[in-house]
Amino acid sequence: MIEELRSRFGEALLSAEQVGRELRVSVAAAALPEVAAFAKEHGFHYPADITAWDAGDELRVVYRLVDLASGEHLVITVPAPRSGARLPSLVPIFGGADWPEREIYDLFGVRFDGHPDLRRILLTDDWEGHPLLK
Amino acid sequence: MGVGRPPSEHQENPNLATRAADVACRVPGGSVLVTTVDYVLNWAKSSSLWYLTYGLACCAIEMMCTAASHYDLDRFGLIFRGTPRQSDLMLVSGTVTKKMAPVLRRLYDQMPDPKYVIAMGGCACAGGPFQDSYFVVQGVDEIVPVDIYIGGCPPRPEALIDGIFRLQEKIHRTSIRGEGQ
Amino acid sequence: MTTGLTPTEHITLNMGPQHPSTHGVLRLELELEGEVIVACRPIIGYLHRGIEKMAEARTYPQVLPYTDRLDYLSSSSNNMAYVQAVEKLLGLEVPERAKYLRVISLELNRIASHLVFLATFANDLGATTVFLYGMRERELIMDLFSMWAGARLTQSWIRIGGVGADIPDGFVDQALAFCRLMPKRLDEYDRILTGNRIFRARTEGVGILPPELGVNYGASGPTLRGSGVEFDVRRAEPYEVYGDLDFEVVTRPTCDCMGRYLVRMQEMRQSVRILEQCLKRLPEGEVRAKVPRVIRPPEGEAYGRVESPRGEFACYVVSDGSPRPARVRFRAPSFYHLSVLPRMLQGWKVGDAVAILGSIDIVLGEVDR
Repeated sequence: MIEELRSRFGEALLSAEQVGRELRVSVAAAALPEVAAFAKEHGFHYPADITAWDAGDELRVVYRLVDLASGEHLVITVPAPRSGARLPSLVPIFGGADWPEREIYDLFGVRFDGHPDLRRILLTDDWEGHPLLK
Repeated sequence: MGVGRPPSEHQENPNLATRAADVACRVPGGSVLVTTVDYVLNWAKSSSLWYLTYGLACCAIEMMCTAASHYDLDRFGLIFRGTPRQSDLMLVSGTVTKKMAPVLRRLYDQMPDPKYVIAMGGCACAGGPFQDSYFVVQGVDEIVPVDIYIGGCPPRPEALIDGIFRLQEKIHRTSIRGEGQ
Repeated sequence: MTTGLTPTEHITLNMGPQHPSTHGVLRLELELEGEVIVACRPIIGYLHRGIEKMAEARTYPQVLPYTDRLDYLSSSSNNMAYVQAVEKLLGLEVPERAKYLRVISLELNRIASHLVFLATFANDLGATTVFLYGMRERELIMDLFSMWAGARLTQSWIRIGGVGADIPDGFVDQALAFCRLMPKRLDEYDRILTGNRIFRARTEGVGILPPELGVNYGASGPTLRGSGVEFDVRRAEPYEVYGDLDFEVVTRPTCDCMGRYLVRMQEMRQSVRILEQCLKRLPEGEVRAKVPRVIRPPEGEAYGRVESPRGEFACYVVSDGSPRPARVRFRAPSFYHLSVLPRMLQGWKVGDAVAILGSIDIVLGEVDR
């Protein structure tokens, strides 16, 4: 899988390692939809978790896709700037990305291009700031 | 949202009953009449406290348990109602967030007088374990006046029943002549 | 049905945040064409307590009590997911007895949670008697919880490295007595509710969730298994001693409310089975591994994954080497189930909304966090 990803995405694949049953890859934002679509073709149908965290110098948006048949995990980490970040939305590929992306927008301020309804989800509409930024 | 505590809204304005009671008390033997009327009214109020089905968080599950078969709130005359317009008692069972606060206030305003509020659990009393949260109201008494506070996270059903007894005692201390006379 | 006299009106109906059937503080904005739902917008966040942010200011053991308050119907599974993630980071091995005790706790919580589901689901559909029955049996489990944890709901009994304390004397006998009683009570529920004509009319064929849609939206647990997908974290990635235990993963192919209801009813029987096995096999020994006073996991990330009564409950912990976590994220199954709800409601009548919402068994504490 790593080799296949490397040959297909080349430069966009920033890093890749296998940890137990988890394949952890880091990809550039622009290549995310293709990587996700590629993963879905290879059996990763289940969006287990989509979240983000503030690593201090940058944000990391983490997509965890699971292959329900084999139990393999694919963890895609996408680095993003701490303010004004824009990422392509995965809603066209995974319906389950809809609410988590809204949540990441709400709590971290990352905007998702192509999201059908990007509004605040947990906080009130007039809330200022994004609380989970450090 | 108001920060300070609003003035006690239970203090009803001097209405016809209060004025009549004042007059009656000036007549020899009149206070006996007032006491009797008080007794009947308080008995009625305290033994038919219909509460609003209004679960907020964890405490709501304990509230449900208390209402259900084992602890059975019905035996104290407490029956749950789905609408604030038929309720006398608001059991604030859980954490009040800044998004929920205006809704809670609106529900309180829709309840007819006389109305009572029980703050159930640490969150409703003073924010509970969420003291430093950016989205939690530190105690429901910032929004509505509270009659009884019940600590615990969540309080056991026995504690809730005790709180209800305390509220009934409080109701028995009221008079049509005014609060607490 | 058109009478030709009154054209159907397009209205927006607000259900909640104070509504007896929304199980907490959920608001649904329903777009109606007459009585038929054409669109639904769930509005959440009324119970957003900022637990994930607060966790960043707490030490690792201090985060544990907050996990109880996420999915408050089964606090053990939340504890387990968090503890599992931290133990993965620490590389900690837990004593065998603690593993069994954890499974006992998790399965008792599953029965308690499914009983609340049964009680409220039946109550929403008009069967108040079943509400009282379900809560009656739940009290027996609450007594067991009180015995080991002192608390009924928020136990925090599963700790990093094991469990809080060993079970008291008499616990095993009382738990076994419960295991003997429960199947009889489940038969009773089946007699009063499962075959009931009104109940069947309101649940069979209602609120279809196609399996592909469910997987694509990240649905899990009984909600997904009611659509015939055999996915259970206990089987897919066995944690604690689930790998050694004998139990079935219950599925129903019908994809409707009835399917999801039956999955949960059968799961309670399976949980009783697991409990009996654990109680009989319970080994002697320590209940807690040696844990350093200050927990300082090495830099890295871990994903703890458990099967909560609602589905895959997971906890993603990122450590930066300090005594406080850099990020704690909870993956709540109800959050994903609610996001697929609009698709399930489309085309059904307002009255069915209550049945469909009840059948996915959400807890707002974990949705809003």
